[in-house]
Amino acid sequence: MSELQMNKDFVLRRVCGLNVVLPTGANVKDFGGALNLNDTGALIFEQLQAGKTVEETATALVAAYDVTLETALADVQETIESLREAGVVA
Amino acid sequence: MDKLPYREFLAMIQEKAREADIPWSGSFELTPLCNLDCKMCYVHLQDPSVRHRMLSGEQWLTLIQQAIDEGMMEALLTGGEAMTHPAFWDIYMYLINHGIVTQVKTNGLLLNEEAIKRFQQFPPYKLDISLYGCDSESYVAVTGVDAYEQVVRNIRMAIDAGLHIQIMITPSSYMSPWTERVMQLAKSFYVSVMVNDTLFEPHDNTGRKKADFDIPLEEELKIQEKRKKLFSSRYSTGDHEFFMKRRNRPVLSDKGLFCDAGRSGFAVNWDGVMVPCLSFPRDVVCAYPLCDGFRQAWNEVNEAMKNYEVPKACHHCELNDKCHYCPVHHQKLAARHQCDPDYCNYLKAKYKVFQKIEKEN
Ligand code: SF4
Ligand code: SF4
Repeated sequence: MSELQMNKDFVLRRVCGLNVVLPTGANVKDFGGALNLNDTGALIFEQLQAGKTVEETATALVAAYDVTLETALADVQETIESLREAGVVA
Repeated sequence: MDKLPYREFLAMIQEKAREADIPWSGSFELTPLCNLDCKMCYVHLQDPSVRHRMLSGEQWLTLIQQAIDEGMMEALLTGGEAMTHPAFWDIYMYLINHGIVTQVKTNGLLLNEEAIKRFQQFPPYKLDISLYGCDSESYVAVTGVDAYEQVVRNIRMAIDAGLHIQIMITPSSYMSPWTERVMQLAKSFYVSVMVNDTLFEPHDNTGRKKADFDIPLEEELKIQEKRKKLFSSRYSTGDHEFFMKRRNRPVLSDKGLFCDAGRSGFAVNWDGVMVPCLSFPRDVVCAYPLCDGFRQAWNEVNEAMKNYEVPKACHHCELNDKCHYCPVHHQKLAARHQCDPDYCNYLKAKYKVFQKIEKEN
C-alpha cells in the first residue's frame, strides 16, 4: 500500500460522547462540515495523525479492543479508505 | 463515518451539550468600542478608560483555549465592532486553527479587500453584517457616520468573494423613515436577511435609554408584515427555525429557562466577565473566568441557570406555551424572578394583533 499522507489540518474533538473530526486552517474553506467517527475510527484517526504506520495502528487497536490483528488490520484499511474519500488522507 | 454539513452538525450537538452541561457555544464581546456610533446600541461605550480595561489578545486566547478544553465547538466574535480589536485576526485565526465553527458580527466598515481575502482563505461559518441605512442620510441618522457607500461596497465585495453573509437589520425610531427601503436594499443582495424584532435596553453606562429609540407596536407590526412579504417566511433566516424545531423541550418549566443561555451557551463580555448570554443581567448571575478559571466560572453560571426559577406569573399566563421568559427583557426584575408587566403587556398586545392578522389571512 502506498505511503499514507494525513492532511494535518484536521482536529479530532471528543465532546458529548461524540468523536468529531473538524477542518482547521485552510481546510475550512473546502471541507465545510464535520466527520462523525465511532470510537474505533477515532482511535485509528489519532494513531494515523500521530504518524503511526498501518501496522502500529492495528496493534493499538488490538491493545484497546478484544480483536485479532487480522480484524484490526482490516478495520484500519477500511477506515483509511473512508478517510481518503472524505479528503482527510491523501 | 458520516460527513455532516455544519448546520446539521451544530443541531446534532446542541441538545446533547445541554444535557451534559457542556459550554459548546461561546460568544465573545471583544470590545465595547466601535467605529460607528449607533444611537440604539446597547454596548458601545465612549469612555476612554475602556481601552485600558479591555482584554488583550493574549487574555482572550487563554480564555478561548480554556473554553475549547471544556468542549466549546462554536464561537461568535462580536462587539462593539469586533474587528476594531487590535488582536481580532489573531483571535479569529486561533479559532479557525482549532476547528471552531466561527461566526463574526460586524458593521462591515473594516471589511476591506484585505480582510475579505483573509476571510476567503479561512472562511467563517457566517459573517453577519449590520445594515443601518439605504443612503448617506439614513446612515448618518442612525450611526452618526456617513458610511453608506463604503459598507455597501464592502458587502458586495464579500458576496462576490463567496462568503456566507447574513444581513442584519435592527429597526429603531432612528431608522423609521427608511426602514422599508433598508429592507428592499437588503433584499437586492440576494443573501439571507434577519430583521430584528427585539430592541434591548442598553447597559446603564452607555447613557442610552430604550424608550428613546423604541418603535410603536403598530410600526413594528408593519415592519414584520413587510419582512414576511419580502423575505417570504416568518423568520427571515432558515437557521433560526431549523434550530428551534430541534428543541424537543417544554417552553415552560419550574426551573431553568427554555433557551440555552448558561445551559450550553455562554458569553464573555468585553471586561472579561462571563454571563449566560451577551446582555444578560449580571445581578442574576455572572462569573469571573480570568480570576477563577473558565471551568469554575462556567460551573457557576451553569448551576445558576439550571436552577433559575421562572416567575410564578408565567405559570398562569395565557401566553406561556408561546412565550419563554427571557431575563434580558425583564432586566430590572429578573434577579427577583419577576416579570416586567410593561413588557408582558406589550407581548400580549403584539400576540393579539398577530392572531388577528393570521385569521384575516
Ligand atoms: S408574557 Fe410575561 S408572564 Fe406571560 S409567559 Fe411571557 S414573560 Fe411570562
Ligand atoms: S436569556 Fe433571553 S436573550 Fe439570552 S439567550 Fe435566552 S432568550 Fe436569548
